[in-house]
Amino acid sequence: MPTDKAGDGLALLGILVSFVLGMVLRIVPIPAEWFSANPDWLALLLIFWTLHAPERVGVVMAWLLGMSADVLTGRLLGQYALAYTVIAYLNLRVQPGLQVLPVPVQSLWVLILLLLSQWLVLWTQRIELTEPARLIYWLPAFTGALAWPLLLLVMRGGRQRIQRS
Amino acid sequence: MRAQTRTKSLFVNGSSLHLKLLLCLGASLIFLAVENRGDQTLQRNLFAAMVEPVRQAVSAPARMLRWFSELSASHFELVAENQRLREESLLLRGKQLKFEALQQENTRLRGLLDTTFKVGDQVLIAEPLSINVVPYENLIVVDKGSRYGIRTGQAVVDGNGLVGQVLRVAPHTADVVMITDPSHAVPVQVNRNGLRTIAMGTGQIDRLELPYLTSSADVHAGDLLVTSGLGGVFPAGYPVARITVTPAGTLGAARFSAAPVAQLDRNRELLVVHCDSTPLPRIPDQNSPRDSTLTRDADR
Repeated sequence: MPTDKAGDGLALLGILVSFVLGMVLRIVPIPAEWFSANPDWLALLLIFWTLHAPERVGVVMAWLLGMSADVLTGRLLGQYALAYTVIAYLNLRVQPGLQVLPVPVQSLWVLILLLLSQWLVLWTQRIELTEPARLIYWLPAFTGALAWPLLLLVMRGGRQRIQRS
Repeated sequence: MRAQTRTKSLFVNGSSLHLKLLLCLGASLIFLAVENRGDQTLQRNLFAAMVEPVRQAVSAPARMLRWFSELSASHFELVAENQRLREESLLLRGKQLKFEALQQENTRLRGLLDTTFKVGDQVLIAEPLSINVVPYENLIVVDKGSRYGIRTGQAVVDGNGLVGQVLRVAPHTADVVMITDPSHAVPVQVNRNGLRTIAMGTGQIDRLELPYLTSSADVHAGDLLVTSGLGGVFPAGYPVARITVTPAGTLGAARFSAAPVAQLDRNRELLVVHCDSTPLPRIPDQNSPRDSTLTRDADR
């Protein structure tokens, strides 16, 4: 049991480190035209961890992460918190079945979750927009869905290394 | 191990999940409502302190890179740059001489006209930590906050023109909303003829909308728009944008928009303008006060 506990701590540390890296990627300075295609790495990581470690990353963790994302990107406090809570909940509901599905189908589900997250953020925006939502606003969701297989590859490698040590 | 994970995940899927969901949704909505009322919350400062290391980590490589490039610059480059800067300094000082004389004259004339006038805005230099330009938010997070005296609503400029205004402050950081943010509008006037209008953000970094300018208005492409000072948020006279004209097409008359003169996506230093709301006395004292204002500006 004690060794299991140590493994638990290590896993939690791994999760937190990945979230910090996600935050860095979220605000890393890249040219403006590329920035609007930068996927929401925090949401992607959240989907990954609620899928693969649902006993550690749940709705509350998602909410805390969302609050941090709100402050990080200068949103109203609660916008990303709301969005992340919802996508974490939905993902936890389908979690047992989703892991066995092929990766392209998973990507499709990820796309739906990311679009939902962006819609919630747009919906909670306080101000009325001078123009209707342009299509480019939804671009990060699509690049996010494309980045999902890549994330799986990287994260699975990292996870195995932690488990082996 | 596998079986244990299974039972744990089953437990998560129970009714406690719904309870947690409701709690988190409720908390999010409460925070949203509080922020909508425009209150500065303690919670924001808490989370800001949490993400502070991430921001520092992101801005560190750029600073290192700049430091290295300054370190490794050759002697000749430095001499050349020094020479150029000295010439520029001389030029600016020459202009400043004339400017000061004009300012003095202006103050005196306004005193005679029985109006009050403010001279010299105080500024504070801040560096951007992260620049967030996506279609529906154009924000800059800067490395100075309420500890440095920054307050919400202060104007932010760079070397070329107006950048935006301070939206929220945390102790060590502040969020600056750019003039191109779709929720932002700035009262401007055409520098050439004083025509007043409002420039609204579009979400695109290189374009401002001018919805209240009729197609027959007396403006030309390239006209400079400066802040008009109406509304009391932005001090008057800072350059904002240059007019661009979409020629009359089949759909309708010519339309005007504007391109910001500030380098919104590539600025390294920003100036937060502290516009004092208490005006100076009507006729300034000849010996002391104005000079002390200026030295204070230089100190900042």
